[in-house]
Formats: sequence, C-alpha cells, structure tokens
Amino acid sequence: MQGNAEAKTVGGIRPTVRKVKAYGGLKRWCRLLLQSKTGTVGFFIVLIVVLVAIFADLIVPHDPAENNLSGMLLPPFWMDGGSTSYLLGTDNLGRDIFSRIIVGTRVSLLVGIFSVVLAGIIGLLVGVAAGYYGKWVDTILMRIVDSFLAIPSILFILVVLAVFEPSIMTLIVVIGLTNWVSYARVVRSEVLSVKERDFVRASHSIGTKNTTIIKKHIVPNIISSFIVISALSVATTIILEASLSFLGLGIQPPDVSWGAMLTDGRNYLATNWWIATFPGIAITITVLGIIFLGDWLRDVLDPRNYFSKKGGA
Amino acid sequence: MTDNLLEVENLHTHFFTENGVIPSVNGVTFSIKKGEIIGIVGESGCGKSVTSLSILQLINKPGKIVEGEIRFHDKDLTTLSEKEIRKIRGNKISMIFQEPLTSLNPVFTIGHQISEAIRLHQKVDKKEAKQRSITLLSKVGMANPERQYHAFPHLLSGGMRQRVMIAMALSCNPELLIADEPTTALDVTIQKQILKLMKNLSSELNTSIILITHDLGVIAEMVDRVVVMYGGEIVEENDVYSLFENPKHPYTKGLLNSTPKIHQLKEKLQSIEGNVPTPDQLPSGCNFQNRCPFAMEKCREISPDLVASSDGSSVRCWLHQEKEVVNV
Amino acid sequence: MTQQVQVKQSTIKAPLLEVKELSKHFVVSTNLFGKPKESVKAVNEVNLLLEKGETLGIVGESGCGKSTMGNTILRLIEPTEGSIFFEGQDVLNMTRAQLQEMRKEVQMIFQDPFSSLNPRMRVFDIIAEPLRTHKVANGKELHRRVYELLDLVGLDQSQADRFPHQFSGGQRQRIGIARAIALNPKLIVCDEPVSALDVSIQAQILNLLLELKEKLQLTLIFIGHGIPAVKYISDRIAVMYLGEIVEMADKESLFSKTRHPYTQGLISAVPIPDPSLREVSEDVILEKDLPDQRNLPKGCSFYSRCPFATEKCKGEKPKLKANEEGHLVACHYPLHA
Repeated sequence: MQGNAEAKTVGGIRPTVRKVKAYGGLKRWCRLLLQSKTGTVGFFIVLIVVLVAIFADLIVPHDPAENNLSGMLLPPFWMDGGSTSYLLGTDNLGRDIFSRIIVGTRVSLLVGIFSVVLAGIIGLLVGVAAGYYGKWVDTILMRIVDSFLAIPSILFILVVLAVFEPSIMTLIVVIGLTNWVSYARVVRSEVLSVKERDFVRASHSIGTKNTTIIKKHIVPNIISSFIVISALSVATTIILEASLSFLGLGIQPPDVSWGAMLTDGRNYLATNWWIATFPGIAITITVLGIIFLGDWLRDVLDPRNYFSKKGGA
Repeated sequence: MTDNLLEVENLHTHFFTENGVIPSVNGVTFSIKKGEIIGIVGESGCGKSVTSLSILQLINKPGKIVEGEIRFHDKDLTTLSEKEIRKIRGNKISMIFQEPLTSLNPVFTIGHQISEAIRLHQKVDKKEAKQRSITLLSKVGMANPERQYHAFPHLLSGGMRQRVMIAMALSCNPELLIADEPTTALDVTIQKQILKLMKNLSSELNTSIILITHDLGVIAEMVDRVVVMYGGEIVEENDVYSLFENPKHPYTKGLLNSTPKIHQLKEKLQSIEGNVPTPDQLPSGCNFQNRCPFAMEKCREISPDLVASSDGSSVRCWLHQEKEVVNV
Repeated sequence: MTQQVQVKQSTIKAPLLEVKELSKHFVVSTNLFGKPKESVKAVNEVNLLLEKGETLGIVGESGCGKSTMGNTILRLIEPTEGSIFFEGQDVLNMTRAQLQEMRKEVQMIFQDPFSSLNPRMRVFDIIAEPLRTHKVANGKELHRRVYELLDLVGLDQSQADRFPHQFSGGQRQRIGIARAIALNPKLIVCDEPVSALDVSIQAQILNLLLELKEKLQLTLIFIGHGIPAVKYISDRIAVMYLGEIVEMADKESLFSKTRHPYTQGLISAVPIPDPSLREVSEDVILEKDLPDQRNLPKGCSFYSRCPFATEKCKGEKPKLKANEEGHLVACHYPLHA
C-alpha cells in the first residue's frame, strides 16, 4: 500500500507509526485462511502448482521431449504393463506423460498470469480514467470498450494466431488484448461508486490533484475487487489457453502445454485413455484451486467483511 | 393476574460471533399495560432494537435469547414454536421499522401487500380484504385511497410509505405495536404527522405502543412511561413527566442536558464525555462509570442493581441505592 | 433582488462570502437532441452575505437544496447560474492557482463520518493530507502539526496510526474536523455534521465547533435538518424551501418573530423535550407532503402547503424582502409584519 513510501520520511521520527500492516499481519492472514476449508485447499493447490512450475526442470523424471520408441503407449504404473518409471504412462511417441504435465504447468501459468497482468493493467488504466474523469473521456473510452465487446473474441484470437507465429508471447498478448475490456468495465463501475464518497469530495475540497486522489483514494479502495477478478480470470485464461492449444493454434511443439497434450490424446481416447485424461485432470485441479483461492480472497478482501467488527444493535 | 399486556422479564440476548460473545441485552425487565404508550430511549448499541426484536422472536443467528421470559397475555413467547409465534406476529403484535422503503416489497402494489397481510391472519375473501385495505389507507390519512391502493411503493414519499407500514401493522387490530425509530428517516414536518397519527390510532383502538427512539423530543410528546437504556441494561424507568422533570440517573441527566432545546433561547449544552460504547467494550462495574461525572470507587467495581422506589420510578445507580431492591 | 442584498450589506462590515443569484439546476431528462427537457431547481436564485466571524445556519427539509448550495460554494458542484465572491474574489472565474489558494481558506465538514474518511488511510495521513497537498509542512513540522490538531479536536496522539474503522462515529467526526482546520481556513462549510451521531455525541461536536470557532476565529456555514442543533450553534439562520431562501434573520428574531408560515410550521413540528409543553405543541400545521419538484407552482413555492395561501400566492412569486430590522422573508402575507 502507499504507506510504505511514507514510511521513509516518517519512520525516523516515530518508528511506531507503521507498526500495524494495512490488513493485519501474517498471523491474521493464516488465521483467516485456516477458517475457510475451500480457501485452504485452494491455497495449497495453487502453492503446489506454482512450485511445480518453478522447479519443473529439477523434478521431471524424464526429458519431456524424449521419445522412447520401445515404450510407446505404456499405461499408468498401477495397470498391467505399466512401469513405475513412467508413473502416468507414456503417449504415442513414448514420452513420459507425468514429466510433460509438470513442464506444461509452466506454460499454463505463464500464459494465465501474464495475460491477466497485461489485461489488468490496460483495464485498470482505462477503467480508472473513464470512471474518474467522466464526460467525454468516459464516452470515448467506453465506446472503444463496447466495440471490443462486439468483436467475437474467440474468432479474433483465432485470426490473430493464424496470421502471427503462435508462441507463448503471442498467446499472452492476444489474450491480454481481448480480455482487458471486462476489467475496464468492472473497474469503471467501482470507481464511479468510490468517486461519489465523501472522502473523495473532501480531498477535492482541500485542493488535492486528480492524480493524487486517484493514487491515494480511488485505487486503494477498488484494488481488492480488482485482485479478486484477476485471480478468477487466471483460471478462465488457463482454460482458454488449453482450448487454443487443443485447436492447434496455441503452443507449438516442442513446447509442451496441457491443451496440446489433450490434442495428442484425442485419437487414443478409446484405447489409451490416460494420454488425454491426466492433462485434463491437471487443468481441472489447477482451475478449481485458483477459483477456491479467488473466492476466499473475495470474502476476505470485501471491506464489508473486513470492517464489520462493530456489534450493532 | 396483572393487567399487563406484555411483561419482559430478565431478558438476555447475546450474539455469538467469531470474536466472542456480545451481550447486547443484559437483564431487561419492563412491562406495558393495555392502551399504554411506553418509550425506550437510548443511543446506538444500547440494546433497544435488539430488545424489540427479541419480543417477536426475530433474533437470528448468531444472536440468541439466552435467558428471560417474555409474557404476552401470560403466555411465554420464548417457549412458542415458530408456527405459534407466526400467529402472533403481525396479528396480535405488529412492528414498524425505521426504513419504510426496504420494509415494503417493491414488486407488489401497496394494496396487494396490505391485503396479503390481512388474509394471512384473517379468513376473509379477496374483495373483503381489499375493502378493508382501502379503509385502513384512509384511516392512516392517505388521500385518495382507492387510487393509492394500486400504487407501487417507489412512487410514494417516505412519509406516505410509513403510513402504509402503519396501515399494514394495524391491519389485524394488533394489541401491541412496536415502532422502532418510525420517524428517524423522515423530515420533521412529516414526523409530526406520523406521530400524531400513531397517537390518535392508539387512543382510538386502545393499542399499546412500544416506541423505540433516540429522540427525547419524540419521547416527551408521545409516551406515558419511559425506559432509558444504556449498554444493554435499563438504567432508569419512570413516567414521562417525572423523568423529564427530575431525572435521577446521571446518564438520563446527561442525555437531557445534551439535547438542544428549541423553546429556550439561551442555552449551553453539556455533553456527556467519552464515546457511546458498543456492547463488547463495556467497562467493569457500572456500565456508565467511565463517562459518569459522579463516578465513585464503588462504581468502578460493582454494578448497581435496578432499584425501584415507592414513587414508581426505578434507577440503576449507586447514588440512589437506599431503597429496596427489585428482584432482578 | 439585489436591492435587498444592499440593504443588508450596509449593516455588514466586510463580507467574507457573497453569493449572488446562485442557481443549480439538475437535468432530470433530456430530449432527443440532448437538450434538457425537465430539470429540478435544486438551488434557485439564492442570495447570501456572510460576515466574518459569524455562523450562518441553513435549515430545511431533505431536498430543499441546502447541501447542494454548500457544495456549490466550494465549487464541488458547478452552479448553473450566479456568482460567488470570497473576500471580494470571483470564485467562479478564478485561475487554477487562485482556486488552489481559495481551497486553503474554505473547508468542509461532511455529514457521514463513515464515508468521509478513506478506510484505507491512517488517521495521521488523513489529517496530514491537506498539509501535504499545500506543502505547508513536512518532516518533524508535519508531525508536530498533526499532533497539535489531534489535541485541538480532543483525540489522543497515540491514535494517529489507527484506521478510521477503529473509531466511533463521534471520534471520526473529530478526525474530519481536524482535517478541515488543518490549513487554518477562514470559512468552514459544515454539511449536517451531527445528524448521523448519537445525542450525547452531537453535543460534544457542537461544543467543539463553537470552541474551535472562538479559538481559530472561524466563520461557519452550518447546514442541518435538525433545527435545535442549528439554532444552538448559529448567529443567523436561513430557512430554505425547495431551493429558495424563504426567511433569513438573526436567531432571536427568527424564533421569536417568525414571519414565514413555513418557518412557523417547521419550528412547531420539532418535538420539544419537555412533556409539560405537550399540549402547546399539539397542532400539526404542515399537513401535506412536499410537491413534485419538477412541476413547481408558478407562484409561491410554498403555495400548495400554506394554510394562508390566496390567489395572489398562486400567481405571483413573493420576493425576499427585509423589514426595518433586517429580517428577510419571501411571503406576500408575512406573520409578525
């Protein structure tokens, strides 16, 4: 929060001033997390997925691109013919599915997180500008938003990916550029309601600059709902990336992604179900984890929740 | 038995939150006679609204009535099943709330809502219910009741909506009307109309009224007897004339001294120091001791009992403890 | 109408604030071409003169335009017509720099102590905001000043690093007051500062405002719908009805020699906290509700509710006129003529 910047000038004189964190300390967060079962589950799923993505190279048992022509279409280890060396079996080229899922985590998270960051930044800027300044700024920006909404986004993505070289970077940019509109709309409506509150008028009456009001009064009061929708849209973006890769427009070999793995397994569903099933399960669990965590964040960051300490009568 | 319509005895309503138990109402005892208007006055968090909701068993989780009896016609309401209490709610005992807009359903006409209320408790057909609704609307002073019957709530002004709420509350000729800050959301000129309406209806229909408010002016104009609450307890009870003339509890005195008076030209308000406590931050000993100008050593340690004196008043204060103790 | 203002002006030494023919119309609906079709005259040709050091109370029922007027004086809402002079300077035609200077001199205290403080800011930063904005103080000096302000409004220095939600309504209003006096302003517009507070706390805040007014030589505009509170704090009171001032006079004169029937109805509607006066105050004078503000009667705006209305009132709008004592009223048939 903006408090940190102040701490430098203020801290020397009265170090106690910054004692309490804006949302309370780590302990409070832990307590709040443990109070919610789904929140805890979501948190640990996301934690594991992130760790796996970071340390993917260290934990893969096999090179994910390595073909093992002697061990093609091996079933998972608990089935007849399975091997503990290939825990979840191998695909039609003899590649280890477990290793590929681990490496695929990276792509999913990279695309999921960075396209949301990109969309979020654009959406935040546009939404704040439109909501705060209003009048013609609002009209122009919101007409742009409307026209973006009028374009069928999946079609737009398909065209762009067909024209440009599909890569992680292209995916991030194209998903980010189509998704910012929903942020802009949410942010704008939040800004509109915060703008009308008296503390913003008070700041105006003091003569505070608009940019300062936005920085100090508007953004801190909309950021929590922004964080929540961002968290939730990481989940939908992961699914979008998987779908695009499934259609062959996303990640191209030799890069591995869960969606592309589904494509690989599509023709073998009847005979070798594990090729498509495990990446599918990976997608489902990750998305569920993020949704659980997002829901928990929404409950915790909701100011009504946060400030409802008063016992009313 | 007594001629009391309603007797609340030693009512304790607590809220069990994640931050601990909040004792909103702590041992409240009072009664109301047939046709009487009593006022419960106090500031936010004093437990006056929780008391009124407790009477109708409208306390939801995490709140709970943990102790006490509420006798209506000598029947303890706290022991009734949900089905039995529903027969009393809106029928024998009605309630009016502060915000008339949220108390009315926006998708139905007001006439529909009053008719529904009538048909809920009385076996009458639709036509009869409509007729009665229109009579009620004209009784509460709505001009052109036949037309207003078909109006939707958002088309009415705040004062008109409160009239509709009163009409609805009166639809079954209740014996007791609980009005929780019925005029707080209204302008003074409309407040005056509504208060007068309530008073007239009370004397006409012999309805008892419990009027809950923070406004001593409203109390002074409306009620027969006053209950002053602070921190979940009754601190003083007296008939309205004696209470205003000779307030005994330091809190009552403070409240009177901090109310600006329109009929006195020169005045100096004496405020009560400190803050209005929430029910979870009450001090040890007497609830009022940390704001009381007369607080003694004893007040900080032991909470005084509500003591009745022979003149019909009762006070919870160590300065007035020489009289015999009410059994609480 | 300027004539009457001049009558009043002769008795005023140096007006701090002068409001001339101020109007604010809110457009309710527009036609096909974006031209206003229907509008509500929230403030309608209001004239005011404010002397240095006085407290002007503005009373009226909800929707009478009193808050809109307060906001217009600070240019938080741009008026439709009229002019505002602060210390002789035309507020509506100021350069950015001049306006910034004026913002130091005129402050506001808000009604709702829960929405007027940013829930994500600490008390210290809230009170320091005006000082930082105008670069009046920083470092040690800023600290000294904020703690001094906390003292002035009766808060403890140790509370500076708390967040607004950790305070009660009255304490939050004190924080709002500290913010308003931080820059040593000349004029403070108080927009219903006590109506959201408990009775015992209202008196604290009213007395605090009176005390600060003395100490810091403030001029106050006190807007309120609670007539007793406005009466307690004000020297002069203006009564507003549907966007217009219908009566304005010294406090004593307004209450003892009420001239407008609306003022009379308003005063008589206030419940008196004394049961022995119950019978005196029985009568309901104002029977009807406020009329629809979009289609106001052509004549006197109070015509539809006035017990003394005549044909003249229906057709002709009364102007705000002073009697020899300077008691202004807009009525064809004033009481206590």
